[in-house]
Amino acid sequence: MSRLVVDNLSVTFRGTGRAVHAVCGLSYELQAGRTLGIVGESGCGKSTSALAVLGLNDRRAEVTGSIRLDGTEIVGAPAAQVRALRGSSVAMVFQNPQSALHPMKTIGTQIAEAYRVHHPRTSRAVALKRAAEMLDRVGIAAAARRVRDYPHEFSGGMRQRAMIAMALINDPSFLIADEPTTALDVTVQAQILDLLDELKDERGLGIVLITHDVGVVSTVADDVLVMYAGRCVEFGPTRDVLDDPRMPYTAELLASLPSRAEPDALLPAIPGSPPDPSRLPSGCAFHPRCPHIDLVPGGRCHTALPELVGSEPGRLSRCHLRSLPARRTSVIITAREPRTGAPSDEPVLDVEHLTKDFALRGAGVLPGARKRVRVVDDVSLAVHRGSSIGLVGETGCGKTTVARLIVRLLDATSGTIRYAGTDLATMSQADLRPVRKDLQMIFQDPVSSLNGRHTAHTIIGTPLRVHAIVPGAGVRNRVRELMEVVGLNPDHADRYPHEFSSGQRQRIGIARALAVEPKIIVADEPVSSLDVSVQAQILNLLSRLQAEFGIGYLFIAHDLTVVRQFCQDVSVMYLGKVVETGGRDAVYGRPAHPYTKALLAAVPDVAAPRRGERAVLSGEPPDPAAVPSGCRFRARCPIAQNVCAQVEPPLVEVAPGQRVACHFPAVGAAAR
Amino acid sequence: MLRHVARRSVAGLLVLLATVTATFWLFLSGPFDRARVMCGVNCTPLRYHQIRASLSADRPFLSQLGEYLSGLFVGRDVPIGKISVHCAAPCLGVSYAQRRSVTALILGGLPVTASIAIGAALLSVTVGLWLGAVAATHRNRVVDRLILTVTMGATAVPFAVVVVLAYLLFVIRWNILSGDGYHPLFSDGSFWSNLASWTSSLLPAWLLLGLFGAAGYGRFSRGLIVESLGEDYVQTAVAKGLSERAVLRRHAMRAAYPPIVTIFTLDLAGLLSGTIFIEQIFGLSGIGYLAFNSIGERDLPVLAGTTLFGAALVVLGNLLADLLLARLDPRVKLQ
Amino acid sequence: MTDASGFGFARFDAEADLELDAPRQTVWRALLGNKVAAASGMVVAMFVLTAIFAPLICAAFGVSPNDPHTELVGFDDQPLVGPSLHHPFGVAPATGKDLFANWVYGARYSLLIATLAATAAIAIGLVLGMAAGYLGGWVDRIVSWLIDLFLTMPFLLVAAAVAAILDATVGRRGSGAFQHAQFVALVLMLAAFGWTGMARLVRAQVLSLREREFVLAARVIGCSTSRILFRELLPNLTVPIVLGFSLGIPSIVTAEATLSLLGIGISTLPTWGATIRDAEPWWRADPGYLWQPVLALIVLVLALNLLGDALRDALDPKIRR
Repeated sequence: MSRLVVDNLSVTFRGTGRAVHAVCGLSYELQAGRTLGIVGESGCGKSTSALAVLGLNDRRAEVTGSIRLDGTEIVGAPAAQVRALRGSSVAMVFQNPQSALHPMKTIGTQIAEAYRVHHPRTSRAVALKRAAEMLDRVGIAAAARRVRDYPHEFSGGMRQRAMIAMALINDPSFLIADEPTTALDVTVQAQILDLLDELKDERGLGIVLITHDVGVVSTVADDVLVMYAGRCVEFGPTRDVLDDPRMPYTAELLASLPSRAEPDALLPAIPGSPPDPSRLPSGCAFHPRCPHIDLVPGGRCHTALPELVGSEPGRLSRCHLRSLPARRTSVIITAREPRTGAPSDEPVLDVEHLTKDFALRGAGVLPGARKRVRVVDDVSLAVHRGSSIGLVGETGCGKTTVARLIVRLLDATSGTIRYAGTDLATMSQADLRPVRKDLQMIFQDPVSSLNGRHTAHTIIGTPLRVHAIVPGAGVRNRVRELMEVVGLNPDHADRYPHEFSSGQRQRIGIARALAVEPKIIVADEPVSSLDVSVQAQILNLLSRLQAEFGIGYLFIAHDLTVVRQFCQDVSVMYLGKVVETGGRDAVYGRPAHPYTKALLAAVPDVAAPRRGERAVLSGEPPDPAAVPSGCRFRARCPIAQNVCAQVEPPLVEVAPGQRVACHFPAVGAAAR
Repeated sequence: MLRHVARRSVAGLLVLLATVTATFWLFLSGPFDRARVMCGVNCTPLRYHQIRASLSADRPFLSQLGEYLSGLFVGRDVPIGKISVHCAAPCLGVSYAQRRSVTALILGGLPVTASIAIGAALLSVTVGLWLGAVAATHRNRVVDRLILTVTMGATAVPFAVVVVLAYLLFVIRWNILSGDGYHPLFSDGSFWSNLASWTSSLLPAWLLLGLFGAAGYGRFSRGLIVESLGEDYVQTAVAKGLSERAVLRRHAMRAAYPPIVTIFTLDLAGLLSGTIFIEQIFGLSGIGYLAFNSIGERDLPVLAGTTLFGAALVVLGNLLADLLLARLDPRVKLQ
Repeated sequence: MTDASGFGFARFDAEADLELDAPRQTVWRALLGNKVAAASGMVVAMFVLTAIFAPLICAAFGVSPNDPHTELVGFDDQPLVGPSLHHPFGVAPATGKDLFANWVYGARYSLLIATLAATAAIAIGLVLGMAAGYLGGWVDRIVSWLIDLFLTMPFLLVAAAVAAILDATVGRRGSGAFQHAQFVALVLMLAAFGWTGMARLVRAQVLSLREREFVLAARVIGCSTSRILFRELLPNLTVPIVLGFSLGIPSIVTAEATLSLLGIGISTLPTWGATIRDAEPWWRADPGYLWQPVLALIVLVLALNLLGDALRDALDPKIRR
């Protein structure tokens, strides 16, 4: 039985500035046939520690400690010796299958190359044949033909399968998977996680799975190692750690997950953000964010680094406290205006039959001859005052296009956007300008959504000036007020975006939207690029603003747990169409569309069952340019019949307020 | 793929047509009296009128342009004094000074210029790529700094000045390069001896033009290789267990080829103007030599002809580069 | 690369990340910390000062670029005096003109022409590049077509034709009007062939910026197109503009010297290129005559390039590391 032993591993970057201790004294041991999950937020050193195992850190990294593979030392070993291990005994799968494959070489060549490095006497043809077999094993259909494809001809999920095939072609004992599913959709993520789990059992593979997502760890890992600020802060069997965390960071992180919280409740967020590895706090690195420092006498949290100690066999944690106090209960927001009775229930924004066609670029010379793709097809939804509607779906389902159509960043092909008695869809940009005050947008990326050349003051002040909301002299004060409202220090108004953390940048974006006192905010994935602990803060802020100002949100997200926690209504999109819509309780509790069911089953929830116990949707969303006939979901649908290929199911009401586009809706059935 | 080529060809032809019109307007027609320009200092009324007639300068602009364009496709006869010079298609005009068709003059110099340019280009790209790869893999170390310094020096010095200095030192002072002129590759005698004299007649030109060009390609490819060495797929290749050399050659440098092809086409015009100086000092009578002497002679039809010839080469080079790019990078076909 | 057209913009096309991530102080610190950059900055500053104060410097030495001193030249046209306090670089053969004054004014004309042409080229490139990138559609197609057109025309030959036409048709050689026309034509020619690189660069940059979320945010707020172009996009084009100047000016100095060397620049002004041309036949007898403009040209262009490179590295933290 192979063993991978990491002992007191430290990785330090010494540049011109201060030394960065990315990993400090990390130790773990992995047996073949088991999966170790390493969890942590950005900058905690999890990826750096993984690269160190294969000696892949760049030249500036100083690696100390010991990494032994079946007794062979890797740290400090001659380059040729380490190279012989790479890909043959220990292989690696990276986060982004888009960039991890060479774009100008065929998939087959790249996999065969991995084989031939370690089997130099094998001919190209034989290696290619093996590559095809391996691709077949990881679930690529028509593998013998597809070895000749280039990466851009593969979908994201297929590329990650190809990466796994490449990693496993030499039958290694250990696989290091660095965020292998982060760039993928939930349904594809579930497939890849199942594949990894299967291969582990089949080949007796030892897997180190690195992720920021506690849910992912809970579905496949046997043991979990939690990292914070370069150190292991907690270790133990996955179930035990998730059910009974011993270190405050683990406990707080788990508590702040939207999937564990009551709907509409404020999330018990961890204050602050993960520390910058170049300036770590003294003592226990978590002490500035820890709710329990008062319980430790003598301020030891500030001064002394707690030891990693075992409270019981197989469990380790790093905290001065022997046991954690019971968790406080969460607060439910009730400020949301209750909606009473259907007839009087006038939506603020009413979108009906929204449709958007795009012309395919370069498909024809004449304008009329261009091929058109319908990316949004007959979408209707309503936003109510003080309430949120969630729009969920996988990549390419058209949800972002819907958002941009509603705020008129794009012009709809047909359909109406009714607001305050007028149709925004047909308004000219000039007429639209005064209306823009009422309709704002929050963006996904905290880096690109702020102009790096402007100060926070200019960014938040621009809408005030454009719409002349306050007189010129009052802008300064109003910006300070707005910064306070979103939880920023008003004295930082003259700082540039790069001087803020990503959570703070997202707050600036929210303040900018808030400046014009909008009635409706379209939020396009507002928390998906934030760390979990920061995500909860932003969700809380959005809830608070809703309660305070009665804002209606159109909340676009791919994360179903966030939507369940945050939105009262949900619409599920698939390939440009809404396939199911209704109240939160109905859609999550009694999903009627097979796609909704599959999506919910695919969410790697902390409480989710493991492989084999849940239905995983096969395939990936097809290209919007080639929508199947009849029901567009039928190719992936487990219950599809002949009629599904011929007739497109209309959106019909199956229960009060719940409408589904399916010929065979599951009515009244409970989830899972 | 075929459609892609067709579309690019049409675009290239449109650009070329515009170049012909602009060149004709600037060199041979336009607001000032071109006959006066060509007539020069020792101008006599007879000479002036002969030149005017050879340019058809009395006719309206569009008619002149029409004649020039039709000459490009079917050829024409140009009167010079009492004689008439036949100018076969593709007719680029007739040199008044030499009383010969510009096309014939250019074709006469083509083997020389093509030999110089192709040799120098090959040298530039291969040496440049090699320098770039060495520098990129030794980034921020002594070798890298040395290469950066030398190539910076070479790209910074004006090439015309280099050529003047080379001429003064090699030809005048040390008399190393006799400037015998071009020795054709295909002439009487054994192939091998012809090859030897052909090579030795061109070697100085190749080295001077090629090595100075290599400096630019070296700096450029260093940047590209440094960038691609930071890509995820290079990390994947290292994780497979490939040697550093294999990672560099099969993965990192592979990604640098398409931008280098693009830059090569952008620099093609520069390469051709480089031959103007080179041919002059080494006494190689190619197209550059022809153009250089026409500057002094104010032989506008020859200048216009060489300009158009150069433009056509650039357009053709772009088209070939497009084909090459589509072969190098499979993603190009998508567009 | 020997290219005169496009003026070497291609060189930083793919190398540099054109986003300014580094705050201004960091850029300054990186520049000042770099010894090469500091030294080349000083060299450039000396040339600039020489250029600006050329008349004062010449007056202080009591020399002038235009006064012939035939009394200092022998019957074989060789100068009778070497470098002295009166004539620090000696005098030219045949005419006896003061070489120091020639040299000082060479710096003046070289930098003046390059600055004017670079400014014009960058302005044209910026406007057309921004229009093409942001507006897209037919504007983009026309600009791209224009760029292609200019890239096919060989700069040297076109310049030669323009010079010949000016020579034969505008005024008398040596007259004020002629000199003026030559100067304007030269700057326009250099600008006309220099803008394409800048336009390509700006266009590509704007194309990527316009899909950025901060631009979308500005549109959602209701900002006008001109506000988006000038308040949101323009500040993000600092890097291409700075690099356009720092790498464009040396290329234009080179191009101008090349033209004068070929005798198709400004024929009546003592530019360095013209001096090299004049000095070439006298090289064996009087090598110093040739070397002083050659060295000046090489040192200036090298310093400008080194400064430009250092600036690019300082502006681009990704390359710096």
